[in-house]
Amino acid sequence: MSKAFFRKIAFGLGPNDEIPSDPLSWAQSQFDEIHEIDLMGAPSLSEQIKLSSKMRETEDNLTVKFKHSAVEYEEAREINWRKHGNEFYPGLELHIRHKAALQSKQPAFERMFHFWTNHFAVIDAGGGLKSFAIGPYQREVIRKNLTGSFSNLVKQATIGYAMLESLDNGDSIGPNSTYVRQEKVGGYYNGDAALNENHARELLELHTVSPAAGYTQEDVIQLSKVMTGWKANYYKSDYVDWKNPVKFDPFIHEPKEKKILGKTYNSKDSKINAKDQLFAVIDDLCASDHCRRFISTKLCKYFIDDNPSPEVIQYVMDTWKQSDGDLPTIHKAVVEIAFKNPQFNRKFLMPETWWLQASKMLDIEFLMTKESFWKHDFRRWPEAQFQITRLMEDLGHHPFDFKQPNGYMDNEEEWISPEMMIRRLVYAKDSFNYFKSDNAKKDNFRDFLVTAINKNFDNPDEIANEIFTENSFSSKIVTTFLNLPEVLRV
Amino acid sequence: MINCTRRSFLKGGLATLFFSGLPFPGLAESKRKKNIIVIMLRGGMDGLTAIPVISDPSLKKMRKNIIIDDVLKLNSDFALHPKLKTFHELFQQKKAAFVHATSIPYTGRSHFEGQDLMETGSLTPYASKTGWLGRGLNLTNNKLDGLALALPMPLILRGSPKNNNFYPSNKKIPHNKILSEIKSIYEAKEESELARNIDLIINRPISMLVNDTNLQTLSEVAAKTLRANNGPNVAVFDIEGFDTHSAQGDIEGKHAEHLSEVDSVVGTLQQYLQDAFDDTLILTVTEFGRTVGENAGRGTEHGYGSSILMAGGLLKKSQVYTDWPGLNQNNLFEGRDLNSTIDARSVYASAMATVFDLDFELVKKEVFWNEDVKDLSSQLFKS
Repeated sequence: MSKAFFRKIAFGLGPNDEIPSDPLSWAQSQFDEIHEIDLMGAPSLSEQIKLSSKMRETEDNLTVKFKHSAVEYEEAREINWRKHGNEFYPGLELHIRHKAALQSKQPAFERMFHFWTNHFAVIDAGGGLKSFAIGPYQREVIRKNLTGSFSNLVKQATIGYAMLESLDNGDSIGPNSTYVRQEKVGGYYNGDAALNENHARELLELHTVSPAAGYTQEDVIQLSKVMTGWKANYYKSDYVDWKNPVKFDPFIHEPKEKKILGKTYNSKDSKINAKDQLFAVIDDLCASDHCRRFISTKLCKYFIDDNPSPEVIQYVMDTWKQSDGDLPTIHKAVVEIAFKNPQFNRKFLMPETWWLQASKMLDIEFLMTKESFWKHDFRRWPEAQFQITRLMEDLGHHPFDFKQPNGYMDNEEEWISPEMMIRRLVYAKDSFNYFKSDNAKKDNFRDFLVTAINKNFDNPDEIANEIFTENSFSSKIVTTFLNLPEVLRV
Repeated sequence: MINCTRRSFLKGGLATLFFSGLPFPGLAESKRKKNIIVIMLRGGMDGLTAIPVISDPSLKKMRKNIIIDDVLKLNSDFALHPKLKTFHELFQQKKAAFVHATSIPYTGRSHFEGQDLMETGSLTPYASKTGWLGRGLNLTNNKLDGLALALPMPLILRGSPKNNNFYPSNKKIPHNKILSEIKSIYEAKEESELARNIDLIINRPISMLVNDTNLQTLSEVAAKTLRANNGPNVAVFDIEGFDTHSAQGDIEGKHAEHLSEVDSVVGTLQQYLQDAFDDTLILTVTEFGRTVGENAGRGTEHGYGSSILMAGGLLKKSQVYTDWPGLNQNNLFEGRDLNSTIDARSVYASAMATVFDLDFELVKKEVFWNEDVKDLSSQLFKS
């Protein structure tokens, strides 16, 4: 067995971790149940939506109050942001995510969770999504659905508040919906009802079958008709009912039959309840060979290699088919491939994973405790609480700040460039400041590092030779170590 | 009635920034250092918002809530969005032009496929791992190095052997001596890409010793770096946010804000390039245009034809270069989108042939796989 396995499918081993006697079972046993993680007193998704709504409501009032003074308005808005925790809560959510990765007993599960949050990337389309919804969406919707079937995960991810808002599904109105027909009868109709294809397109392209399935523009339109009615639950124009942030509104749903990828839904002879149509389509999409191939390839690319072999992909696909898309079974298959094929050791790690592995191996204390995090005056800028956000932004890999709905790319060309490498160099150097004082002590430092290297690498002597050079000093040693090819790749 | 046929026209926008080290192949024939700056507009820039057609009343009918008044007139048929003030001024000085009803040949309306294709220049999504600008650079005699003014390295520049990027953090980079030691480890382990990149960090020029990443600073750094005789010839910017499915806005609003960003980047580039602006060509790239009609959210959907904004002294004249397809229902692509009558790749191929002093046929063959791109150099650019 290669010691790299613990970094391949999790975050490596910490100085106090025992080396599991049966590493494959250790890893595979982590996928069957969702364990409790330290939530650090964070508000729920609903409660955060409430905060977001209140913040925006206040902000709207400020635009009226300060309509004659842009400067005063900007100041008041800033105070309003601080008061509602616009920068505080994303920092808290990052802490929850990273604490789970580093401290829970199920690090392989947490690493898999990171894959899925990237797969179901929610882009900040405004409305406070990044500050208040993306983190809680990931832990309440994605994380909680990783022990069932893939199709169930897709259903929950699709009708999640953050995803619906991000991809504008609430704007999509059936042209023959009850709403439009009533308006027409009443003579009020202003012709403003139209479909919004955004979410339907991404559901096909990114979340399930991929363009390889050969769907057409008409398929996208038909799916967007199926999806009409699923929306954030606004109780007046701009504010969401936070207790029930998502609803299905049959009033704007497009009736009649729809045909997607050759299959007819809600035909005259076989009616499907409007609300259930989306789920029926998702079940069929997820059962397709295209979906199995697309997601299996993506998993192998993320965990195994930028160019996974057809055999490896086929193994995941076969497991998928046999288990009917059961996520724990699929996750175990990916881990098994990693375990049995130590020759795949060239995957260039994405920055967040690299940083978490560095923190795990070297016991770096960059996270705040719950008590210190909450020791905050909401009138002030949350400088300490914001550090983690800045770190993730600087590394170019903030897990709530996707630039595109296809998430971050995981191939090495995305991450090997001068600027990206500079970021790893400076934070590798910085990381020494977060060492526990005992480990950083001159007398202990070398032994501590050697132990960490021995636990996680198959070539400890070679690594020691490279980093403990004649003129080396602690921060230089750590900078070099964390930028070695063996650490950047796994 | 629109009577503009094949008139020259440029549109500009700006997003990611790349630089490529100069040595241009035509050095023997020409002593001038020529530059190309590409501004990528991600999300699908709405060509009809940037450059509304004013001689066709159907635009107003189809865009009741997002039509723009107070436009800056270009000619009897077209005008500019009021936020594109710099472009309008440059147009008066014969240093801005626009191509309208143009697109890369992609009609699939997916951002991810479209952005892949706008950067690779290919017809098949995800088929090419290199970008058209990278391949173009690779044809130059000295294999110019590229620089992106962005944290991630844009696909459009890949394929040239020496790429660089710049998007500074405020942290101090470890000492060169440490970097050199790491570099020798990379070399010993045959990690050539890691070694090449750390070498670029070790040898950064003074112009890059700033630590601010706002668009204006990046534009200033880009301009100063390009202006230097031994500086790069290519810069690439990335601007996001053109995907306005809702609340697109008219004179104000999201689309207007982003157009304003593009405009001010071009203004800053002009200011700091100084005389070198006359030897520079700035042009925009986007993955697709947007539907002619507005949707329920006062936004627009993914479409097809858009426009290209261009600026710089290498433009032949002020013009809106287009083979206008019209906005009647039967003129629209699939009954909904502005059609594209000019392959945007023809503009990019011609621009590279002009700036890199390359034979157009060579660019066509080596960069665009001998596909049907047309030589528009003599219509659009100064030789």
